Formats: sequence, C-alpha cells, structure tokens
Amino acid sequence: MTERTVPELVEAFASGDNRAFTELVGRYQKKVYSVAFQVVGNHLDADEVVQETFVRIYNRREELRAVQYFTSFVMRVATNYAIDLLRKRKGQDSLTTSTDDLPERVQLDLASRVSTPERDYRSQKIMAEIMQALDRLPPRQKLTAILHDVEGYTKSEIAEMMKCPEATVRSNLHIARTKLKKILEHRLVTKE
Amino acid sequence: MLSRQLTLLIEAYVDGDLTPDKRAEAEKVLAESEECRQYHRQMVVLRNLLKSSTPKDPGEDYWQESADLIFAKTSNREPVYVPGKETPQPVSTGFRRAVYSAVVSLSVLITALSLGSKQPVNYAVVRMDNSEYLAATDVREKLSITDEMNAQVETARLAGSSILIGSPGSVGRAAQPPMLTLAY
Repeated sequence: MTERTVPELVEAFASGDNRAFTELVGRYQKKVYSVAFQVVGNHLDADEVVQETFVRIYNRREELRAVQYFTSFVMRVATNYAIDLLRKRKGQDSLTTSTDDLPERVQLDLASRVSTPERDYRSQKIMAEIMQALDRLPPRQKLTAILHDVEGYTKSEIAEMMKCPEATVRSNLHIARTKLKKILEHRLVTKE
Repeated sequence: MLSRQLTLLIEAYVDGDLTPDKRAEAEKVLAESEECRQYHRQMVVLRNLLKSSTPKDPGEDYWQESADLIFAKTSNREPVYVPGKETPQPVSTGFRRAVYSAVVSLSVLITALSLGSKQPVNYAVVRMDNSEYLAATDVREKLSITDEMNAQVETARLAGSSILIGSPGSVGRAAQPPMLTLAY
C-alpha cells in the first residue's frame, strides 16, 4: 500500500478518518516540537505546545478543506500558541533559557549539534547563550529568526504561517539579526 | 558603518535570495569593501550558530508518549461522521468507564463469593418438631439447645458467601439449604 500524501491525509482527516489524524501527528510532531522548543526555550513548554497544537487542529478539522498549505497551518497554530505561552511565561517572569530542565538525552543531542572540539560543557554553554540571545528579541522577531535561520523555512512560507506580508518577514528578520549580531558579537569574531 | 541597504543586500546574498543581477552586485560590493566582507562573515557565522541550536530528536519513547497523550485528549470528542467511511465511531469515555467499573466490581464480587472466607464458623443442626434448625454454636447456648433436643452439633464452615456480607448476612442466609430455618 502506498503512503498517503499530506493533502490526501488532510482530506481524509477532515472527512472523519481518525487514522489520518494519527498519521499527520506522526509526520508533524517533530517539526512542531523543534520550533516550539526554540521559541519557548524549554522542553516542558515545548511539549505543551505540541499537545495543544494537535488538539486545536483536531477541533478545527472541518476548516482544513479550505487550508491551502497544511504545513503552514500547523506551524501557524503552533507558533501562535508558543508565542502566547512565551508572553505568559515572561509575564510570570519565570521563563527559563536554561537547558537544565531537559532530559539528559536531549541535552546531549543538543550539544552534539554544535561542532566544536570541546563538546560537553562548552557546547551547552554556547547553546544557552544563543537561546538567551533569542530570548531578548520580541516574540515576532524571535519567531521569524527561528523559522528562517534555525528551521530553514523560506520567507514566503513564514509569511504564510504568520499571516503577514513577505516584506514584514524580511524586515523582522533583518532587525532580529542585527540585534543578535550585537548580543553575540564575541562569538562572531572572524578572520579573513 | 554600513547602510541598511547594503546590510540587506548582504543578508539576501547569504540567504541565496538574489536574482543573478543582484547577486553580481553583491559580489562586487564584497570584493571592494572589507567592512562588507566582515559583515558577510558575521552573518554566515551567526546563521551557523543559530542552526546549531536546533534541538535533536528527544527519542522514540517521547514521541510515542506525546502522540498517545494527544489521542487521549481527542478521543472523547465527536468525530465527523461521513456515510460510507469505515472509521469506527468511538464509544464515549464516560460510558466506557461505567462499563469497566461495573465489570471490575462484578469480578471482585464473584471472586469473593467463590473463594469465601477461611474463617471457620461453628454451627449446630437442631432437629425439633420435625423441623431442622441451623444455629451458630455460640447462639446455641443462649437458646438453651441441649442434646435432648436431638441436636447434632458439629463444626463446619458456613457458606463462604455469608462471611463476605458479614456473618450472618443476607447472602449467607440465602446460601443455606432451604429446608433449614436459621436460628441466628
């Protein structure tokens, strides 16, 4: 049996096929987690974003037939919730940018992504610095930088996700990068 | 200090968003200006740094648990019914819980009734006036049942069910041979 495409799965799910929903969760939960983790900065909140995103999509399944790009739709639901959560946490002044609350396995995985000679302490320190730097950006700028520079989405995809013009994405990205460059200046020392 | 226009051009170059003409323009600027080259290098390093902060897979166990939680949260919602579709209609969680609860309670009751109690209970079978009476031995003394009354005193176990309800209980009484009248 051939694997169903995303549009086929979406159509089936919108028609009441719960197995299609199961497949869609399997295909998208990692993408949602990755972006959510970057936005909210910790594993527990990222997990909450994953849960809530799919519950909301399930509740809005009848709208799915009108959705042109399911990926953008999923990411929009996820990032909206992540930003709300981020604002709520900042309001509570309890946002953590630490990676300490991550399971050990995740911490090691994260550290292994940074290709430096000293992988343990130093890698985690750099990652914490990047996340702290991202945290200093306003939510929309932070999200744009994450979606574009971390997750690799195109500007038009991000515009679709954030329901804004592409020019806004470009502008947000430029401002975000300028701020990040300033914050992480000591890490950007380069030689020709 | 670089102008906003130049920084935007260099960023678009790093992102690979430029048309061939604009790309050539950016390359010309980079060739001519050390400040532009410096900005370009910083942008490349910044992008690499950001990319390196991507969280990797937390593991299959996590994904499975996460998916199970999502399905648990959505399983008690009404599915969209489409005639002709094979999707089974899920039984509501409340109803399912009630059925499970009833089945478990019944199982416990049947098990208890079957196993009964190992606690021995003495009783006496008393025959008087062509009738048979069953009496607990401690009650027997209070009723002044004697050997002259043709009592057959023996030690045995009452039906286990009587212990479950509380000896002497309604189930215990019901479990006795019907020809015997209980004298509790």
